[in-house]
Amino acid sequence: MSGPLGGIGGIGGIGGIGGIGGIGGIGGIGGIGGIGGIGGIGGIGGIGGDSPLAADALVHTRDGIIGSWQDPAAAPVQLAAEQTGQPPDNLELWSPGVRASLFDFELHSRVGFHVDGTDPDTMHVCHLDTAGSGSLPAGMAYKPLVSLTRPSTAVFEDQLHLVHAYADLRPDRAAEILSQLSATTVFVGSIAYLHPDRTPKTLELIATAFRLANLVEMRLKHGLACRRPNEYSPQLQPMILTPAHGALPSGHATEAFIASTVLWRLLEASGHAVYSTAATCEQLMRLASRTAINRTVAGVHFPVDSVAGALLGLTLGHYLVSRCTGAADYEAWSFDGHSYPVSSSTAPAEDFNWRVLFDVGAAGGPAQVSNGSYIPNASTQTLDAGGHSPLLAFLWDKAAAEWA
Amino acid sequence: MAGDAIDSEVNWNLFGPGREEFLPPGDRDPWIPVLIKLSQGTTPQSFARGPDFKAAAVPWSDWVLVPRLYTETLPRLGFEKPDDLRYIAALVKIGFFELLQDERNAELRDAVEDIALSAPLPPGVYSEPGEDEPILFPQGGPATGAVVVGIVDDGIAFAHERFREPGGSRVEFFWMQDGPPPGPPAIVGPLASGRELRKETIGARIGIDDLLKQGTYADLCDEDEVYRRAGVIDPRTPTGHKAILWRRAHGTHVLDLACGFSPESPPNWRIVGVQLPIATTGMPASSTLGSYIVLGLGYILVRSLAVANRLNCGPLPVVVNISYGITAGPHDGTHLVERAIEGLVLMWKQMFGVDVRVVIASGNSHLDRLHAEIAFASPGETVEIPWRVQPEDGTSSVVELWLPPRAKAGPPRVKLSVVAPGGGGTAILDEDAPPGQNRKDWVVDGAVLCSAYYDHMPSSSRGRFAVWIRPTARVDGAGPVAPAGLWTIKLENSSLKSGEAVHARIRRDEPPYGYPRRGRQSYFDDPVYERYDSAGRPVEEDNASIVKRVGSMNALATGEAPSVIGGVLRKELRPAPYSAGGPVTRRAGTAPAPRQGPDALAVCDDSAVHAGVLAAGTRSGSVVAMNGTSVAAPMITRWIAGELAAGKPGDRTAVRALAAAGEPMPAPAPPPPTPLRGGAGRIVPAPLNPLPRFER
Repeated sequence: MSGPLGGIGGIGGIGGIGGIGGIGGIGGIGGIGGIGGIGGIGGIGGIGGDSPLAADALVHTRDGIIGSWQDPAAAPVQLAAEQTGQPPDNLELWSPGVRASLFDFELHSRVGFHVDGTDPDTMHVCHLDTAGSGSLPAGMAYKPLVSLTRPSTAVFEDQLHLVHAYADLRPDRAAEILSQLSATTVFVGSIAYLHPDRTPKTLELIATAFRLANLVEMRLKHGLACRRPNEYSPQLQPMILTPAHGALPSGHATEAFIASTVLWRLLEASGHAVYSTAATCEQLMRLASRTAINRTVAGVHFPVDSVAGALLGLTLGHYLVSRCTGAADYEAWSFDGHSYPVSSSTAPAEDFNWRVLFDVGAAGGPAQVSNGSYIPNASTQTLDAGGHSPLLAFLWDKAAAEWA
Repeated sequence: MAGDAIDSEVNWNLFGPGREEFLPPGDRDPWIPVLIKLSQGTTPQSFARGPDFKAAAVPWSDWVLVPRLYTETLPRLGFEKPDDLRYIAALVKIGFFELLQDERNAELRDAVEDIALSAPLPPGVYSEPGEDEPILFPQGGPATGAVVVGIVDDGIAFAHERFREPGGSRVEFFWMQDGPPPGPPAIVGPLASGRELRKETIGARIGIDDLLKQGTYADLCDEDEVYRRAGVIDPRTPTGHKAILWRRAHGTHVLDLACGFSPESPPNWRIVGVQLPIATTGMPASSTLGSYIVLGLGYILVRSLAVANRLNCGPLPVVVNISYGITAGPHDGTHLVERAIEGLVLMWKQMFGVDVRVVIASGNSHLDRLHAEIAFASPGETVEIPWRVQPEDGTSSVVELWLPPRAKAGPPRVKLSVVAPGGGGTAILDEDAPPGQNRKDWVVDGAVLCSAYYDHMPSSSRGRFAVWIRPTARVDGAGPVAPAGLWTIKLENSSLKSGEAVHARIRRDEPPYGYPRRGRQSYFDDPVYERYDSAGRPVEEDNASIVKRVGSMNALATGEAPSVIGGVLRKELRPAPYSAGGPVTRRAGTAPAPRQGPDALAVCDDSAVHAGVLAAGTRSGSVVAMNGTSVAAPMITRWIAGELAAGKPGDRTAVRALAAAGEPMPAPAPPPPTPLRGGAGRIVPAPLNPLPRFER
C-alpha cells in the first residue's frame, strides 16, 4: 500500500513571526499572489493529482488499459517559438507561477543598482535599455530610474517625535496593522472589485508589481542601511515585531503605492465607467497613504521612510506601466534626504503627506509632482524598442480586458 | 468669610504634594484657570482693576487676568448689572494664592469669596489675542427656524458631512481650547488660548467652508486633509491624543445626535463648537475643566450674536449640550460651575430676550461605588468607610466628605481620621477646625503621603472634609508614593442626628475613552454592598451598605438651570444600569432642592446587548456605537433645538412634559422609572440611524 492519505500537508509557518517582510506575493513562486483570505485559486475545478495515492492508482490504471504499444498516427504542430515582436500566445499555456517567473525575468533583468560615485548616501536604481534585436541586444545603456538619498541622523532623531505621537493611534489601528502584515491586496480589492475568479490577470499584474517593488526596495534598504525607530529610543516599543531590514524606504509604502498606481493606471486605461474616474485614483492613494502611515503608528517606520517609499512605489508603478504598454518614455524620480527638513523654532518636524508627491487634480490627470526640495523634478527617459516587453504587454492587455 | 477661598484643593495642588502632578511639565508658574465667586459688591470690572493688596511691586495683571467677556464684551453690549455676574472664570498665577493667604490683604480676601481650580494648559497654547473684534447687538427681526446649537465636548470632527449644508458648513465657529494658535480674538478670554476656526474666511484665516473646498479632490472631500490644513490633527503639536484621528470620538457622536443631518437640506441650525482641553491637561483627578466649560459657554453665547448678524436677524435662541461630568461636589446646585452657568443663562435672557437652554448628562456612575452616605444612629458612634485605592495609580486619589449644613456655630459635630493600609494614618481632625489647624498629614520618611483637610465651603455654606492621597505609583520611580490597598476613613459622631447625613464622594480619576491611562479609579469597598445578585446580574438597588448608588449623578448636573438627562435602554425600556440619579443633597438654608434627579431619560443603548446608539464616527459616512448618558443628553438637545427654532420654550418644564406624556408606557414596557432615577419619564426618539440592530 502506498503512503499517507491526504498528501503532505505542507510544513507551513516556517517563515516564523514576521513573514518575509514584504506585503505578499513574494513567497512561493507558485502563488499568484492571490488575495489573502478570500479563498485561493486551487480547489474547485482543479485536477488534483501528484499524491502518492493518485500516482499509485494511475500506475494501476495504465497497466489495466494500455494494451500493446503502437506509434501515433501524427505529431502535433510545434508551438511557435518566441519571436521578437510577436504576441506571446504560449503564455496562456503556462501556469501562473511560471508566468510569474517570466514576468519577473522581463522586469528584473532590466534593473540595475549602483552606489553613487560621489555621494555615499545616494543609491541609484537604473533601467537597462536596449535598442532593436540581434544575437546580442544593441545599444545597451543604463538609464536613471529612481534615486534615493538617505537623510542624516538628525532627520531621524527629529522624526522620532512623530513616531511617538502616532503611537497614540495604536489601539484604533491595531486590526489594520495586523491585517496588513501580509494581506494588503484585500484592501485594494475593496476599492476595485478584485477576485481570483473574476480578475485573475489583474491579480497577476498586481503581484508582479509587488515583486518588482520588493526586489528594488530590499536592494535599496540594504544599500541605504537606515536604522529603525526602536534603535533610536527604547521607549517606542513597536506593537509588532520590527522587521529585520532597514527602515528607509518603507516597504509597505513602496508596495502600497505601486499597487495603487498600477491598478489605477489599468482602470484608467480600461475606460470602466466607475473605476476610470479620478475618484478611484483618489481613494486608492488614500488607501496607500493609510497603509504607509499605519506602519508609523505601529512604531516600525519613520514618516520619512514613507516619503521615500511612496516615491519609490509611485515611480516603479508608472515605470512598470510604461514597460507593459510600450510607452515611448518613463519618468525617473529621486528622493533627496539631504534636503529633508528638520524642525526648528518656526517649522515643526516634516510629516509624511502623500499629496506632496502626487496630485490627483493635476491638469493632465493624476500625476507625480515635485516639491522643489526633497522631491526634485523628474527627468524623462526614453524607452527604446528593446525595453518593450510583449510578455508584459500580454499581462497588461489580459488584465485590462477584465475591466470591460 | 475672608480666607475661606483657599481650600484643600488649592493647598494640595499648589502648595502640597500634588504640585508636580497638577502643574504642566515644563512650566512651574503657568496661568491657572479658576472659577471665582466674587463677593457682593465686587464687579468683574472692579476685580479686574485690582483690589488693594500688598505684595511685590508688580502690576495686578501679572497675578490675575479677567476675561474680557466680563469686563468689556458684555458691558459694550449694554450689560448694566455686572453685580449679577458674580461667578466668573479667570486666570491667576500661583502668587495670587499667596496674596490671598496674606492676612494683610483684607480687601482682596474679602473680594474673593470662593475659588476653584481647573487644570492648567501646557506652555505654548496661550497667545496674545489678535485684533479686538467689534461685537454688534443683532438688530434684525426674529429669525424663524434658526437656532444656535452649542456643544462643549471633546473630539469634535467639525468637517463631518453631518454638520454641512449645500455650499459649506453649518459649523459657524469652532474653538479648540488647546489647539495651536491663533485662538479667538479678545472677546472672551484674557489670553487667546487654542485655535479658533470660523465658517467664513477672514483675511489670512481660512474658514471652514474654504477648507472643505481646498480639501476636496475628485469631488471627494478628504477630511484628513481638511483637518491637516486646519492644524488640528498635527502630530507635531505637543497635545498628545488627537481624538478625531480615531474612528470614534465622543464629541462627534454627541454632536451628530444633537444636530447632525444629511447635508442636502438640513434645517437652519447653526453650530458653535467648543473642544475642551482634555488632551493637553490629561485630566488629573486633582482638578476639573470647570473654568473651560464656563468660558466655552460664554464663547458660544457671544458667537451666537455673530451668527445672528451674519443671518441679519435678531439674537438667536441657543441650546448647549454638555455631555461632561464629574463625580464629587456639593450635589446641591452650588458648584461654582453650576452657578456660573446659571448666571450666564440668566444674564443672556435679560440682555437679549432669547432663551438659552443647557442640557447635561446625568452621569454614568450609578454602579461605580463612588458615593457613600453616612447617617449616624447615635452620638459617639464611629463609622469606618472602606476606600480601595488601586495600585499603579499615577494620580492623586481624593475623597470629599460633605457635611450637612449647620444653623449656628458650636462644638464639632463630627471628627475624621484616616487609617492607611497596614496601619499609620492621620491624627483626628475636627469639623470647623480653623485655618492653620485644618490639615492633618500622614508623614512617612519626611514625605506627606496623605492629608486630611477640613474646609468651610463658602458657596455651599457647608463644611467639607477632604482626604487626598498621593499616587500609588510613579513611572519615573523616584519620590514618595502612597500605599495601595484598603484605606479607612473614620468618622466619629458627636452630635449629628440621624437625619443629617454625611456624603462621601470620590473624585473621578480615570481618563475618557481613548486617552492614555494614568489614573486608576478608587472606590468604596464595603463587604455589605451587593454588586451582583444570585443570577449574576448587576444589582441596581441599594441595601444597608453605606455605599450608595442613589445620589451618584453628575456633580455638575444638580442645579436649577439645565435639563438633566439620564439613559434608558431602547428595547427593554428600563434605565441603563449605569445611569445615575438623585437625590441631590438638601441645600443650606430654606431654599428647596433645585431638583430631585434627572428630568428625563433618553436612549443611551439600543438594548441590553446592543450597547450604545448609532451615530457618526469621525469621518463622513462612518457610523459607530457609543453609549452612556452622554449620548442620551444630545437627543434631548436635538428636541429642544427644534422647539426653540419653532419659537417654543424648550425648557426643563417642556422636557419634563414631553417625558410625562409618554408615561406610563403600554405593556410590556416596565413601569416608569422612579423620579429619582428617571425624572418625569422615558423619552424614546426614533433612532437617528435607521440601521436595524435587533429583531424582535
